[in-house]
Amino acid sequence: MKKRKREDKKAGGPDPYTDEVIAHGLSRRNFLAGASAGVAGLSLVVGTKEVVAGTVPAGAAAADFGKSSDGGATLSFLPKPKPIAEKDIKSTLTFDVVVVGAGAAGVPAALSARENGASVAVVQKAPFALSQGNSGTGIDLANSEKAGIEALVGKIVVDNNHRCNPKLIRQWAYNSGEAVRWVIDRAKKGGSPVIDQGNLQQRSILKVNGYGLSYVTSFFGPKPYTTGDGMRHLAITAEQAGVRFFYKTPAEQLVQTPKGAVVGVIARAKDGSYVRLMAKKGVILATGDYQNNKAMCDYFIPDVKHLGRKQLDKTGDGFVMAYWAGGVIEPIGHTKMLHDFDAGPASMCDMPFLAVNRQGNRFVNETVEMSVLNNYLRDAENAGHYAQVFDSDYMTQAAKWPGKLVPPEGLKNYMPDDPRPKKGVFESQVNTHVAGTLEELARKLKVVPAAFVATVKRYNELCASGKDVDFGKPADKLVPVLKAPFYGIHRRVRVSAICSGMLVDENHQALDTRGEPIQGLYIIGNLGGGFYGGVDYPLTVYGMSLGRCYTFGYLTGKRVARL
Amino acid sequence: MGTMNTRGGPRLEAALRSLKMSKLSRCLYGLPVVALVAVFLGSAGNPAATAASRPSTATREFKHSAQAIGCQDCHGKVKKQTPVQTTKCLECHGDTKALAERTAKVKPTNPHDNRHYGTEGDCAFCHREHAKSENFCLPCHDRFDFKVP
Repeated sequence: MKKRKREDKKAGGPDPYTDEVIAHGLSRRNFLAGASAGVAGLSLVVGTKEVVAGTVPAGAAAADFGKSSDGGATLSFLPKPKPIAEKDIKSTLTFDVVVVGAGAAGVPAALSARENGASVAVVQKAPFALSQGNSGTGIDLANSEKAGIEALVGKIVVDNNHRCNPKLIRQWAYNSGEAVRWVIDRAKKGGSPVIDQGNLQQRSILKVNGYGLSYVTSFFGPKPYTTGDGMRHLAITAEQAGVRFFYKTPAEQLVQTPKGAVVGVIARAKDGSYVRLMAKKGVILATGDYQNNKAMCDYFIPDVKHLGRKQLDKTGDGFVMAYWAGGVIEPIGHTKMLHDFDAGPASMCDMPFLAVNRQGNRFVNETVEMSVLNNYLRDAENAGHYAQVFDSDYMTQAAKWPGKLVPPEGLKNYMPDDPRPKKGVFESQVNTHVAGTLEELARKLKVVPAAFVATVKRYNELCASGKDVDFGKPADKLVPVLKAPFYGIHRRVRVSAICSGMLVDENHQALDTRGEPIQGLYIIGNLGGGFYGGVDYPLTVYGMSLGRCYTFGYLTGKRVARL
Repeated sequence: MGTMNTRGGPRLEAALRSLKMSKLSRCLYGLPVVALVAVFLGSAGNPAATAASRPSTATREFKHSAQAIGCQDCHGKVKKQTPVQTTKCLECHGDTKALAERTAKVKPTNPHDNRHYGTEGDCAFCHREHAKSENFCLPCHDRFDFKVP
């Protein structure tokens, strides 16, 4: 530790990632620095409205809100915690560890802390534990080559556009197998039908640079059973182990000593009164992202302005708490995750069939994956909507493409117009259609019919010529749409998660603007920074997101309990 | 909602364009709009009332007036009015679990028992006193076409 501090002083920070976030992230130091330099310190800044959509009430002191990293704008989404009167706090309870948020990071953290001897409380805004998705993945160390693990770490860093903290990727790589196995075992004890799918979903990543890898993949499914149900089952195990859950009790403020150590949480109970939960060893924030906070999204990630949201109530509460406790938010340009695995078969989502936008036009070389198509569909009209289109010969024409084709009978499971009961899907999200004519299909897909018919005609010409002179798609992926019935999958990519967050070290302890750990404050899950950094969440390893949440929850719970 | 004609293609269907902004914005941000129930009582005299605010005349008309229920029955007698919380609704309407049982057979799904909130959603997600009620599910679930009283 001492050595690191010396190095910090010399180099200005412990590593390039941390240096960058401290220099350009959002923190109270940036505000204070601005004030001392006489830059619009305590007076309201003109032009606030242009900077953020959510405005600060007229007459409010600028000091009541966070400031942009250049000190030039007052940020309505970072309201300073208002003092809560002692008389409004109905009860004070003391635990070793207090976890804020019962999701895929928070529930494992709570149980892990409890198993390591701590008394643990969890406060949760929703009426129960919540999470999304099905797969959570770790590396099966015993059956992986060391060079393979390092090659995968390198690949993930590249897929994160080189902007992550490699130490955190490496920590996931070497601990995730153990953590995911532990989650599977403990969730089963709570009644979950979770299974280990091993390498089933990972066939494309069993070798990196020629080195072998093997995986542990927890599968909470099939839909409509998800990791949300899985975390509720895991919470049963945690409750039986003695973890106390406070549901419908959103955390509002951290309790800090005058020196800044975080020693507790104040949360609002159902009846509007406050409860104070003191934490002898540490507070673990696991409140997730901020996709439902409009002003915050407009500021950090305007890309998603017109794109739909999959989650509710993710308002960034943890960001506000951690910021005012002295933490640093990663700089503007956050990483997003937008998927649609539900409208049609997930195994066909990356198949390069003809794709059209809402205007009925082609818009991309269709070999671009579903997980990044949001970048082409960010405008208000398209808003993430597009359709994959193919004809009745698709089973033979696309037989050799990556992914897995579902035969026509199976596609009916994804058709809202088919009256039979659905299996293994979110019934309200299926959106696959079949029609005898292109015009009828266009109407079902809600794309402009005339343009759609013209697009298909043009596309068929390109297929016949064997050269995609419009978008350059490889010739072996040019398959015409000729033979009725015609099929279409109307996908709509929406925000599953935003996965940039607060600056933390390898102990998942929040760092302040000097790169020093904030006593008592730990941050995991999508609220934690450093793990991504690219334009989009990478699908390098399916289930990495949940795998990371479990792993850092498992490690952090254990670590804080043992302090 | 500007037009986005590409390559000279025809304009989008009117149905696509006429997507109401209110629904769109909720679809985008998923924000429960509890405050709408009585936000204007609360914001009277507040210079920072946002663009979402409606004229204060809305406060004088409300559905419960038919049952001879007055402002104070819901908002209390305090000087500074605040939005009504779901707990207040339940004082007369009873437990939400019982409500969810009554609507168990509603198709295509039970609006009072769902994956997001169980039986503990806020009444004001959908039901409004001073404004038209809204179908909170619809922006994300196209086919949940409830008529909300």
